[in-house]
Amino acid sequence: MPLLRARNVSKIYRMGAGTVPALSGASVDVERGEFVAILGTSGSGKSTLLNLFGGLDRPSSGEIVFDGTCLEGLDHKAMARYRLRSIGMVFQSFNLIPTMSAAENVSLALAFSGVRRAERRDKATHLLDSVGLAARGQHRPSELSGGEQQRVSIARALANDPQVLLADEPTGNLDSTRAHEVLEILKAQQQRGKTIVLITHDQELATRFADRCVRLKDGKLQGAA
Amino acid sequence: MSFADILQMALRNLRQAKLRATLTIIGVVVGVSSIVCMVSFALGLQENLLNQSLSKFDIFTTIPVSGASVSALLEMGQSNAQVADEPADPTQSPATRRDQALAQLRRSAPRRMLDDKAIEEIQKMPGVEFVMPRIGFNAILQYEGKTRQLTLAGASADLQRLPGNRTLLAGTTFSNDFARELLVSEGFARLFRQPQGPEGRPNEGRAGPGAARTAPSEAERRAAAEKLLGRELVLLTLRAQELPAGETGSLDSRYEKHVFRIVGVLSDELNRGLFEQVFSGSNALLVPTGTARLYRKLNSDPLSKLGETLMGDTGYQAAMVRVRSPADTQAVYEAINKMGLRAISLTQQLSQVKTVFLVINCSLALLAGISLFVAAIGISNTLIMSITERTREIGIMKAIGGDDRTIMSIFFCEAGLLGFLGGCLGVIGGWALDTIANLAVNHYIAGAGGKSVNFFYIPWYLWMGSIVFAVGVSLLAAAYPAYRAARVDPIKALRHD
Ligand SMILES: Nc1ncnc2c1ncn2[C@@H]1O[C@H](COP(=O)(O)OP(=O)(O)OP(=O)(O)O)[C@@H](O)[C@H]1O
Ligand SMILES: [Mg+2]
Repeated sequence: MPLLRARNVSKIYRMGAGTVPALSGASVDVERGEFVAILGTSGSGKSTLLNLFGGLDRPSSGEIVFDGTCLEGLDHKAMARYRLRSIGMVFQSFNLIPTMSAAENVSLALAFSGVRRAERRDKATHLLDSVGLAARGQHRPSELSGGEQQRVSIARALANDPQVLLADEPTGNLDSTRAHEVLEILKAQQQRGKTIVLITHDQELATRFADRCVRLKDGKLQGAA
Repeated sequence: MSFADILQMALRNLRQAKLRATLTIIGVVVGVSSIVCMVSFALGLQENLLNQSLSKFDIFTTIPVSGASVSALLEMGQSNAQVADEPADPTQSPATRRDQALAQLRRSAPRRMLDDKAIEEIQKMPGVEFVMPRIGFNAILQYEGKTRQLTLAGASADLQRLPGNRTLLAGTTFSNDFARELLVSEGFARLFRQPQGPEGRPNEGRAGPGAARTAPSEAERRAAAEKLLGRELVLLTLRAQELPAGETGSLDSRYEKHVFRIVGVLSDELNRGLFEQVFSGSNALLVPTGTARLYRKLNSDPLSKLGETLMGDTGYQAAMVRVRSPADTQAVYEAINKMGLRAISLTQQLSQVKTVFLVINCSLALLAGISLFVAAIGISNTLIMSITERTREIGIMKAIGGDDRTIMSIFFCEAGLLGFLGGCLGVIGGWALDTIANLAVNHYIAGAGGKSVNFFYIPWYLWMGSIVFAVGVSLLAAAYPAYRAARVDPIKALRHD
């Protein structure tokens, strides 16, 4: 059974009087432990699909199934829990809280899941260490480079030990060396048993790191198998 | 997320916009200070008027009782039975209905004579310590060559039985129940003073303006009271026997002189209570009960005499019942009313007055509450601004798994902190304002020779209540912003810059 699957998912945005179909009948299965790259032109609905996987939004029709459970049936609270426990998200623009240090950003995710304060500090240090930023814990995001910020956000995504990492163009703002560093970290996580869904424009990176590439076109996935 | 974490988040958020938080808190401080000021003033008023002055008197253990008036007694002598048993008839004319209403009124008025039998009956009630009938009478008195008509009252030789628990400043109590002896209040001489001229009060103005105003010391008062002891007053009564017709006689031969001696002087201190007014007027002139009975008869007017002759006895005007403890008051009060006499329970009256004060307090608090309402709008505004600024942050928190409740809690906590800080500082501010106002007014009072008074009263429930109220109002003000924060759409928020 695939860990994560989209079944005939459509997402239609309402814009004033008109509508924008971002996805129209997209289906894809992601197996447990798989590293899948989603490619597609700008505006093809990649982020939309990832947000649906991440439980940040709900599809207009079709269903998203995680580990046999349809997200449709989850209420607000259960959805928040799903985002907290099962999913780790990484964004192109990092989305760190600028007024908090790197360690605090990581700790916040731990605090949401009720980890005690003392334990939080150790865990955050450990997580930052695992992305090679042990020394930068007390720095604010503005004091870190783009690659470092992205590594902090990966540490945060890993905080509650989710099964899936969803990364929306994590390398979009980075040069190729930093991009490789970031993807190495993701690859290492796959080797530890995580399932990775990566969105990227970069065909070369996708074929190099991912087990499988799928392409979004006209709101549908090709090669989704 | 634990409460400590939420509190920490809230504090962090407030610290990020220190100026805004400070201004918001100032709004709350103003609101809470005005509530504390106004309510403490009203409570001070209540404290000064009711609790301070009235608690000195025996109001909680004293029940004034009155009996049927002579006119009521005369009326009831003929038609009491009919009035009492007339059935209600809805088809009656308005005139009859009015008559009935009057009859109803008459029925609620005391129906029973307050005579010795009634007094004895009350005396036997459980909880009653003693019953003192009021035997008051008017008399013409001469003192130091001046003649005045004054009211005298009978009093027990037992000073404990005096209303208001007055103390003896000098001298002793009556030697026996029929002695021609007087207990006077220390301001007694005022009764015989010349009427006031336009120049002002006679006892002032002679000395320097400042000196005359300072209150006399205890020793001075005692010395003045000692001087009154042994002085004599002459009570005049008409000669009982008319002179033979045609014979004029000298003026002196038409009245009799009865010499009374002052044996004791009562402190004026508690002389302004309700019971003094009821029982002896504000300037007590007390004689032994037996003496009072005698002179009341001698001095009563012909109409009263006639009434008494017709009815045999018209009883006492009023009596004072003292119960052993305030807990007995209600039962005795009810029992006396059941007897057909009219008792006044001041405990009840007091609770009514207290209700009035409650209303005053509440309306003042409401007025002050308006400024807290304005402060609440400030809190709402601050939070909404904070949410607008932190939309992206809220979106991030949601994306990484923060649930709606946690996010709402953070904003409620922020509001609660603003309210709590504002409330605490507001209480301090209110207290400071009270203190300053009190100092200023008392400075003025001291200049005018008065006793210093504490005009404000801040009981624990006022300051605690104000803080709780400020926090409550703040939480209420946070309801909408917090709801909005929880509703933030993470996708839109993450796009937001
Ligand atoms: N909130 C929204 N309201 C209206 N239209 C939207 C909204 N979000 C996305 N869209 C539209 O849906 C389509 C897909 O958007 P999406 O962000 O998923 O594209 P993408 O593949 O991630 O593009 P990019 O590679 O540039 O990030 C676009 O045409 C976009 O304009
Ligand atoms: Mg995108």
